[in-house]
Amino acid sequence: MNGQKNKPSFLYVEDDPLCRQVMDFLMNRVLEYPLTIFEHSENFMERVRALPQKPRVIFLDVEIRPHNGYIMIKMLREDDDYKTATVVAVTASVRLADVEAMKKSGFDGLIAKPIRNRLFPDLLRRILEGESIWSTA
Amino acid sequence: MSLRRKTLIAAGLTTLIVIGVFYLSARLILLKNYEDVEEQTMRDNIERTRNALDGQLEIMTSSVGDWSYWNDTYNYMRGDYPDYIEANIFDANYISLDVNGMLFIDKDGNLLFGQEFDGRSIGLSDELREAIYADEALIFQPDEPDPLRSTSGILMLSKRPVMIASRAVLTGNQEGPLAGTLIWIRYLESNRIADLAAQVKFDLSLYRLDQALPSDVQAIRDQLSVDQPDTVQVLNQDRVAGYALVNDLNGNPAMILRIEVPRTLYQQGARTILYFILFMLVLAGVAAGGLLILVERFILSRLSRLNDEVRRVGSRANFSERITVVGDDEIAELAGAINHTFAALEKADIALRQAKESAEEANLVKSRFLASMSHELRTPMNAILNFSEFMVDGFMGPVTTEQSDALKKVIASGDHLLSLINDVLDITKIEVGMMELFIEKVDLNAALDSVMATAKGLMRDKSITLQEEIQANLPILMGDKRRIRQVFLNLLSNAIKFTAEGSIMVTARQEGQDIHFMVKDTGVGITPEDQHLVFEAFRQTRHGIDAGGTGLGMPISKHLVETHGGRMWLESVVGKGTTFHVVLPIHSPEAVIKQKGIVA
Repeated sequence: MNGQKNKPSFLYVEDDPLCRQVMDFLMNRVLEYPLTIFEHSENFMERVRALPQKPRVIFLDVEIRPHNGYIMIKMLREDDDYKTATVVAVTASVRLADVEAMKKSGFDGLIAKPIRNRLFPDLLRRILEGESIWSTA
Repeated sequence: MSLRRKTLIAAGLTTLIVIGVFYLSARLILLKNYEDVEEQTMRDNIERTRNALDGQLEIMTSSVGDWSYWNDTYNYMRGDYPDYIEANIFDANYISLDVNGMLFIDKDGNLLFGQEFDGRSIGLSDELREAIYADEALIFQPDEPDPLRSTSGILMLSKRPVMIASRAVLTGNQEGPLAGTLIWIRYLESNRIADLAAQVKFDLSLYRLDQALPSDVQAIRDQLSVDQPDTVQVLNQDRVAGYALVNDLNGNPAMILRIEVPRTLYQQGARTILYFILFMLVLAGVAAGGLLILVERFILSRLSRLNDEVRRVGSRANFSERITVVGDDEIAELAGAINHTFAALEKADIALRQAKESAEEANLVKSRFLASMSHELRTPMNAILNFSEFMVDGFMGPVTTEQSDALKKVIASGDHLLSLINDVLDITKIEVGMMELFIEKVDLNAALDSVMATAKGLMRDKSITLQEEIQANLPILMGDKRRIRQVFLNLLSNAIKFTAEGSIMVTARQEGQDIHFMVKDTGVGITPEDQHLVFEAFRQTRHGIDAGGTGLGMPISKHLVETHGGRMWLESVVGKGTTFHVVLPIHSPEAVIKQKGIVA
């Protein structure tokens, strides 16, 4: 639905450099989607609002400082612009209790680390189509 | 029965038995003594009565002596005092002397004067005169060797018995020669017997043996003889009678003397015994009551209190509590022993709780460690797997075939490592009881299809055929889709791993409210002694060790099946192959799900 020049943009908040590199490569090089990366969660909302374009999907690492994924989703859901934005957790914490907690705090989905790049394009397509993906494997 | 009631019954019975024994022995010993004393007293009474009777005779005999040893009488008998009779024998004298007749017989045996008095003077009866003359001892002869002797006794006349006394007539100085015989008589009639009775102070009667006797007296008569002249007979509870033979002048039995007295002594004895028994009864009652109070106070109430306290501690299961120890007797020892036991239980309880706490803590630590380990291992896997795949896919420039093969091995190893991490995490969850199920509707046909597809990929390099007999339209099952798939995949990859060639048959069908899955292979098989190892975590059969893997797949699968309320088992023949069975209920019982703390 988007033309080549008007591709959806994505935001990824991740403190682990290797994970950032994987996602950066996957989005920019493999799928060729514009991806903005925050290396930490300081001044999170200010920086989100400062983005030139509102991200289509926000990927959040959960275990990150100073604000973890749960705090960031809370901030987003309290913001009028991001109340209904698609927010997906990207985390290695995939216990059922974690999944329950994420669902409760307002995440729209979960992609487990390690990301399986063979499966990722399909997951992303489904997310963009509005499906709620909880991929814990 | 409660101890209290038993004690009460025992005390009551003992008291009754003791009193019974007392009563019987009192009756047998004391009352017998009273009876003996009573009989002896009766014999004394009989003797006393006899003596009274004899005493009257003696008095009369003595009075006769006053007259026969008197000069006036002597002179009269010798014919020297013709007015003697007129001067001395008149009614008033009979009355004052209390005699009923006098006979004056001279030394030759002639009756000078004879008269009876029965309220008035009457003539001497022929019967009396004949009876006197018939008895030689009554009439003194001139040659009497012992002129001072007297003869007295009872003479049975047809009209009445009489007392009779005779003496020789001598001078006032009791000197001879003997002038004749003086005889007095006294009627033994009812009024005289009444006097006698008044004298001895009890009922008295006389029965003549030559006349018909009342039946009771007749019965006694037969018991009496010269050797056994008296007897005592208890009439009833109130009265006792004594019987004695009374002889006549010649020593022949002539009458039966009967005395009857109230059994005062015996009754007093019986009353004494009764009072004694009553007193004993009261005493025993007081003693038993006192004993019961003591038993209640010193034993029963304390036992009851002990019981309550032990129960209280038991119901709270708080063994740090102690029961109260009072005194230093056996019950106190028992309480002490119970406290000792409580102390031991408390110690064990504390140890157990500490062990449990430390086990729980260890589990928690283990769980946290594994969660963190999983997180820490998964994160670098992200880079390993993805960069390898990017390279293999040519995103990072051209790679040679050799490099591509090497990268594929890196990816395969990474995948294996990831599944190991997942398995270890699963088994840990099982061990710490934190395995959770995500219950949803499961389309089994779809799940089996995708697993079969994966399996086909796994056996690409092997000459094995995969056959299936899967019932179409299996019912929708309530369960954890991902976990059920995991079980199927485990079974299939396991079969593939241990089967070099031959076939693998997958069967699935509905059996009542269950779905029965079977995976049958033609592999190496498992020896009977190794079969139990298959389902134990970190235990592997020899073949399993050789084939690699964590050895966790089957234990995890079995647990997952059981968490769904199902069963899993195997059948195997070495060299022929193994069949794994899984039975899952279509509706996992709620109880199982709740019990396992499953989050739905």
